Amino acid sequence: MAGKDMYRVLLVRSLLLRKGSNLAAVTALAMLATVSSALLTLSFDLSAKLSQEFRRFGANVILTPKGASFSVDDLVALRKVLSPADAESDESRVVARTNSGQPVLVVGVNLQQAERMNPWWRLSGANRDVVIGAEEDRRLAENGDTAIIFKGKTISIPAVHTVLHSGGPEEKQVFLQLTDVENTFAQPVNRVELSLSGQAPEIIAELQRILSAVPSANAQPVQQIMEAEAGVVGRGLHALLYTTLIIAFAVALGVLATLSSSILDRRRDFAVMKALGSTQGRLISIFLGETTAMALLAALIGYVNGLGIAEWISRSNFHSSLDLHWLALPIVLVGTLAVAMVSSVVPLMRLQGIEPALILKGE
Amino acid sequence: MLLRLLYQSFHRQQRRKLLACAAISLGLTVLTATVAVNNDIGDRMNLELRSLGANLVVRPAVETSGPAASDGPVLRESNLPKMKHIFWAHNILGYAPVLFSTTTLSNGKAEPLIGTYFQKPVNTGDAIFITGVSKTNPWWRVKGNWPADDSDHVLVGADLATSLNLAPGQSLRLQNGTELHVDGILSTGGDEDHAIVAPLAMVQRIAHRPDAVDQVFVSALTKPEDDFARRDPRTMSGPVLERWMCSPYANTIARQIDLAVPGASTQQVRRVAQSEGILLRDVDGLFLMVTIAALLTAMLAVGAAMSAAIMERQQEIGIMRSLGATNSAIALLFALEAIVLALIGGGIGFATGSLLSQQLGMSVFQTVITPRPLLIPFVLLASVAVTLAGSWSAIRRAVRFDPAAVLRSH
Repeated sequence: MAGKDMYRVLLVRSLLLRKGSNLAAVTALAMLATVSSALLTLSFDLSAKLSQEFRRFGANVILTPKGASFSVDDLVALRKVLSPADAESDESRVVARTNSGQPVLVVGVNLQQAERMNPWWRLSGANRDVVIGAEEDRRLAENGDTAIIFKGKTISIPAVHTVLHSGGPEEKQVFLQLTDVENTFAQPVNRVELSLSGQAPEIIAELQRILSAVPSANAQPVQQIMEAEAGVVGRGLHALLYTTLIIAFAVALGVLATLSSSILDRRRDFAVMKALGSTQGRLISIFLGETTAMALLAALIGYVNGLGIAEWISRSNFHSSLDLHWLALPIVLVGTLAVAMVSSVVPLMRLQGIEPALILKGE
Repeated sequence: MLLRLLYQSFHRQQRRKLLACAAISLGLTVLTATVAVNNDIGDRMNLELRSLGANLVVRPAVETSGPAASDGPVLRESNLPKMKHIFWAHNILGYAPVLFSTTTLSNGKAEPLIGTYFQKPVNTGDAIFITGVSKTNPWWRVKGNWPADDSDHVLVGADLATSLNLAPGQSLRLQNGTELHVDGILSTGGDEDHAIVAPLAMVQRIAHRPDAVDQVFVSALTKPEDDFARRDPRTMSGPVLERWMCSPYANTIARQIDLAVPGASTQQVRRVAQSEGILLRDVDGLFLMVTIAALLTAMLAVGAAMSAAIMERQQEIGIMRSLGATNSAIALLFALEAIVLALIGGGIGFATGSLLSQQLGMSVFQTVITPRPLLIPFVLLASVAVTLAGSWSAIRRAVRFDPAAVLRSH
C-alpha cells in the first residue's frame, strides 16, 4: 500500500516539478499526434470527397424503361429507394418535327433540376423554360422554324429563349419543361438520369435496390465516369496514404531522438533512485508511468489540433466539411504511446547495466 | 582561424555530427519524396481523368456571312495531322474523327453508320502517331475483336446486335447485297450502342464523301482553367497574348487547333473539360498543403536535432566566450557548421528521397517518377534554409549563456 502511495507521489511530483522538460516532451509528442491525425483523417475522408467532386460530371446512371415509358408508380417506387444525397432528373424524350419538317430531339425535363445536375452547361438568354442547344438553335434559325410538332400537337418556340453551349450532344437537342412535353405531346417519362452519391460499391448496391424496386427499368452506368472516378480515387488515396506514412515515420523518428536524449539527461535521477534501493522494474514503471501520462495528454491535444487542421484543409480545397472517421483516433493514440514507450525504454535499457556510482561521480 | 575551428569541430565530434547529419537527411528525404510525388500527382491525375474521353471537339466552322454549305462538312481528314504540329502538340494524347451516315440493312431498316479511327497509325510528317477511339474513348468495350482500320470489317452496337441477333464473327447483310463482317459487339452506354461503327475510310466510300469528317474528338492534357484562361484572346495584345498562348489551357489548345486546321471550330466538351478542371485544382491544392506539412515536419526534425547538438556544447561555448570570442563569431561558426551539415545531409536526403519517390511511383501509379536533377540545387537550398531556421533559436540561446555559470556547473 505504502509502495503504491510512494509511486503515485513520485509520479505526480515528477510531472509537476520538471515542467520545462515535460512541456518539451509533450509538445514533441503532440506534434507527432497532430501531423498524423490531420493526415490520417484527410486520407480516410479523401475517397468520399473525391466521389463528391465527381458528382460535378452529372449523371452516373441512366435508367430506361423496358416498355415504352415509366408509369407513375415506377417513379414513386424509385424515389423511395433513392438516398437524399442522390440527384434525379426525369426526362420524356421524343423525336418530333419542326414546322419545316426537320427531325428534332425534344427532351422534356425539369429544367431547374437539370441545370443543377449539369453544372457545366453554359446558358445564355432570358427564358429558362425553353433551352435550345446551340447547334439546333442555329439550324432552327436557318430554316425559319418557329414550332415543334409531334403527333399533330404543336409547341411553339418563343423568340426569347435560352441557348445552351456544352460541346456535347446536348447542343443538338431542344429542352422544354417536363410538364409541357407530358401534357401537350402526351409522352410520359421514358428516361431517368441519376447522379448517385457515394463510392463504387455503394453505387452498385444502390443500383441493385433500384432494379428490384423498379423491375421495369434497365440501368446503364455511365462507364466513362465510373472508370475515371475509380482511377482517380484509388490513386489519390494511395498517394496520400503513402505520403502520410512517410511524414509520420519521419516525425516519429525525430520525436524518438529528442525524447530518448532527454531521458538520458536524467541518468542522475536514475542513479540516485537506484542507490537508494529501487529495483530496475520499479524504475522502469515510474518512467513508463510518466511517459504514458504525457503521451496520452499529447495524443489528445494533437488529435484535436489535427482535426482542426484537417477540417481547414478540407474546407479550403473541397469546400465542404470533414467527415470524421473513428479509426484515426485509436491509430494516433496507439502510435503516440508506442513512440513514447520506445523512446523511454531503449535508453533505460542502456542504463541498466551501469553502476549508479559511476554516473553519480560524473562519468 | 574560423576554418580551423570548423575543421576541428567536424573532426573531433564525428558521432555528434553524424547524428545531426542523419536528422537533416531524414527531413530532406521526406521533403524530396513528398515534393516529387506532389509534383507528379497533378500530371498523373490528369492522365487518369483522360479516361473520361475527349475534352475538345472540333467541328466545321460555320460561315457567319451566309448559310452554311448544305453539302456536308468543311473538315478534311487529310488536314487533321496538322493538329500534331501546334505548340502544345505533345499535350494532344489522341484524336478520333467521326463521320455520320446511315445504311439500309437487308431487313429494309435504315441504321446509323458511324465511321471513325479505331487504332490508326497516322503519319504526322515527322512521326507515326497511333490514334483513334481506343485513345479518346477508353471506356468502349468490345466483345470479340476490334476491326483493323484499313479493313471493311465493322463493330455493331450492343443494342442493335441484340435486336438483329448478331454475334462476333457473323456477317451483316445490307440491302444492296454487300456482306459486312462483324468483328465485335460494342458497348459504350451511348448512342453507338444503336449503331454500326466502321473504319472511317469505308464509311467515306459508302457515303461518297471522300476525305470528309463531321467532327473530331480530341483528348488533350490541359491546365485547370483560371480567370486568365477565360479571357478572350481577341482582346489581348503582344506579351499577354503570348503568355496566354503558352499555357496549355483547353481554350488555348482549341485556338491553336483552329489556326492549324483549315475550317475548324474547336470547343470544349464542357462536361469533361470544366468538371475535370475543378477536380484537378482541388486535388492539387490538397497535395500542396501536404507538401507544406512535409516542409514543416522537416524543419521540426532538423530544428530539434540542431538545438540538441548546440545545447550539448554549452561548455565549449563558455570557453570560447571567456577566451574573448564575440557573439557574432560564435554565431558565424555555428551557422557555418549548420551549412556544411545541411549540404551533406541535403545531398544524402535528395538521393534517398528520389529512391523513395521512385518506389512510391511504382506502387501508386505503376510508373517510375523520374528523379529530376534540376531539383538538386533547390533541395540543397531548402536544406540550408531549413537547417539555419531550425538552428536559429538554439544559436541565439547559445550566445546568451553566461560563460561563468556554464563553466562552474561542471
